[in-house]
Amino acid sequence: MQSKIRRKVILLHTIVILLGLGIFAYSLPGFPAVSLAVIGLFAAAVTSSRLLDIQLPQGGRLNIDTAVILASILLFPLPDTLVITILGMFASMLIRQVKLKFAATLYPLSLKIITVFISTNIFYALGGKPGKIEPLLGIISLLLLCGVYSVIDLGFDQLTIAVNRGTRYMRGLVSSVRFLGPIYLSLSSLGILLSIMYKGMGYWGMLLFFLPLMVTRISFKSFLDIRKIYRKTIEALSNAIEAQNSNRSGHGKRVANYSVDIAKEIGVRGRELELIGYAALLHDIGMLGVDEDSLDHLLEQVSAQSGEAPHALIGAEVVEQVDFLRDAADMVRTHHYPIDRLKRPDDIPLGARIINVASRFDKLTKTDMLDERLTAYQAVSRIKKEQGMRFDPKVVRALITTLRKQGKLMEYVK
Amino acid sequence: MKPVLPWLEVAFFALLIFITDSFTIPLPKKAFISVSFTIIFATILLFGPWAATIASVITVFNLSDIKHKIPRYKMVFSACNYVVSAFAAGHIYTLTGGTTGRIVASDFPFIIIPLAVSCTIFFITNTSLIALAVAILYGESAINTWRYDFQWLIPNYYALGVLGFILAQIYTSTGPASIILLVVPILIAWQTFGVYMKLKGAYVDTVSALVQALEAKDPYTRGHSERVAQYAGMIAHELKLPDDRAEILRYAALLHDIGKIGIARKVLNKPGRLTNDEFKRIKKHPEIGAGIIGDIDFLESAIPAVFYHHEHLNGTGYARGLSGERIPLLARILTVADSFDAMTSTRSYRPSLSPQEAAAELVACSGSQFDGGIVRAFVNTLNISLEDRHFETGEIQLKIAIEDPA
Repeated sequence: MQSKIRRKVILLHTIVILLGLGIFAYSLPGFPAVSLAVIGLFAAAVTSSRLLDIQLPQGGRLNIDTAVILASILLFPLPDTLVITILGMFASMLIRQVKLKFAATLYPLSLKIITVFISTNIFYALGGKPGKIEPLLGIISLLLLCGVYSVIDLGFDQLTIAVNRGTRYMRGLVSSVRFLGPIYLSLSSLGILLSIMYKGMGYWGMLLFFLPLMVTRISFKSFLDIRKIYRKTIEALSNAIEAQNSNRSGHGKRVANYSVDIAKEIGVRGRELELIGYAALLHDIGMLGVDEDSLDHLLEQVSAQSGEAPHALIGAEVVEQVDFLRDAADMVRTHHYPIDRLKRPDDIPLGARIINVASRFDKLTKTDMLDERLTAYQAVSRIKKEQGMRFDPKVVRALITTLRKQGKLMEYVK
Repeated sequence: MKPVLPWLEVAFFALLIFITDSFTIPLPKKAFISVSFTIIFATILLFGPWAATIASVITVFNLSDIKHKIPRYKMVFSACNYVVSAFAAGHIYTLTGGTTGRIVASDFPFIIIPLAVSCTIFFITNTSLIALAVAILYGESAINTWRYDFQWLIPNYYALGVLGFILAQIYTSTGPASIILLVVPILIAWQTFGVYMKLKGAYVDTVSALVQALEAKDPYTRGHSERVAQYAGMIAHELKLPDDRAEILRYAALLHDIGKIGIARKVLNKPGRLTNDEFKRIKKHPEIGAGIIGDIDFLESAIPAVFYHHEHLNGTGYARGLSGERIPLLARILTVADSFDAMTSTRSYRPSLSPQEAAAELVACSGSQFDGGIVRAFVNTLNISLEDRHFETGEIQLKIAIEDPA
């Protein structure tokens, strides 16, 4: 498994680097069309905007150099843009003191070269010309340039992640386009703006341009930061609460991980996925502060018939107090409901059905009594026996698929 | 003689004002804000006060207000507000020597004065009219509303002003298309900022919901933090603390025991004496709590209150053993509120005191454990509420206690 991924990574790197270098050599004739001072200025702008990149929650970084690179595509011929991009990126690597290993340095540079090359050529094919910006008449070529550039840029990022981690490509791309679409739209507008400002105002335009760029960056970054802190704090608190009962330690976080994986497998995205994650993290919050002795007592009260559990009701009350998590409260309340309780399983929120399965799986595989602890395979077969009554078969199937993908079921399947 | 306005261009800017004004963000109190100030300011710089005044009329149609079914009179009010503010800011701008149209290098640095004055006047007119309206409608103090909802906006307003100036400059040198290109990222940044504000609110909600849930399990502490917040609020009111400080105090009070979340219940509720080791663990909770909220930028000012809420005035408390004035004011308030609630509620190791007894105890310990000024303020407000509830003995006992501080 690991070696397979490694081979894929090496293959990808080789292809990309060869392609990038080839394109660069092919495009270079004609350089330089503008003065070296201008090229240096734009490269410096690429460098400084790259140094202002933002760490993304799902891994990777968001570079705001998109605006500057788009502007130089619009202003200068292709060879100059390529040199600007490469110089700027390389300088930012030097400043960051990244270890300049051969492949690790050339790979991102080559990806950028390919991105710039393809989107610029599409722009030219649609009648766009560098140095001649018509925001109203040439709107289609401008839109396509920005759109194609953004999608390729995001697509390459996702490709790298997908190959390195062995995850699904298209799904990652769709969610990253949804999540980062608005900021790329901002950066694209700013790129066109910079080209117009530079043409009309010269160096002043360049200087003034950095204010709106910074405004965009600050608002996006503070949004990401507070999201991260929010999740981290809830995790930390739920951990601290669970720490009081040794056999529950880490249960919430593990169930959250399983639930998010299952939900992704079923095709849940965006806000609902986020809510399922929070609901799973907090699903047993109603038990918090209960001592071990009385905890068992509470657990016994979970009626197999109705699925009503006091801790679920209390937990839902807690979660309900938070406006932002209101829709998660229902999932917490119904997370022990057996699906045959109602005629249609859809009457129980999907999140609740997922948490039900994930929590059961975690309890079977991570229980404190060693002689009762099951392997993943045994746990899945036990859960399967109850599907259709207690558990939603669709969710159980998704659990099996995710476990298999992560290699956790492999060794038991003969 | 007044020059004729370039109507088409003014109409274009009016359209931009309309668009930006439709993206509003709710503020903690009743007010909403948008970035339309940027465009109005640019209109002043480009076409003068009258153009900006006329263009501002368009804010009477506000998509977000229509969507949220805001009553008509409020929409008219906010439009009039913009018109008045644009009028005032525009005329101040020309009166102090600002020129309209393209600004050239030789205008610097004197152009900065009219720019800054005009920006300030717009901000003051606009926000104080809103604060006044909120005060009249909801019966709150106008100054408090202003401080709470608008004071922190001052730097943001100047940033928007600079943005408006840049917008005007870009317009004179490159035309309308680039303005649209600038407005798109500004609006997206604005919306993101709105989500950020929402998450900020959610954060405090969530953490205090968890604290309350934790307390609810235990009959001895049920509602403790909520009550401490209430007492702290009463003290803040009596001491005439500004609203923003009082708000931080409320956060600190709601979250002051969050550090106890990791301490085993058996230790917390142990009847009888704690061992040295157990006491050491309990003494850690202010530090743990401050660490938990330490990551959040907007709770930064609440950290000292949480960290030092077990300090005594004479320096015998924990976590650092500070004394006197060196203990932050909010922490000193929190100690009084916390102790009062602890004394008036039953604990596993002792029965509860009556409010009178607890107040007398606070007074007795002023100077050594508590800040006398804060205790006096608290007892004053308590006295009123005790009378309201017809406690027969309360008044006399309290009076004796205050006249004779031990």
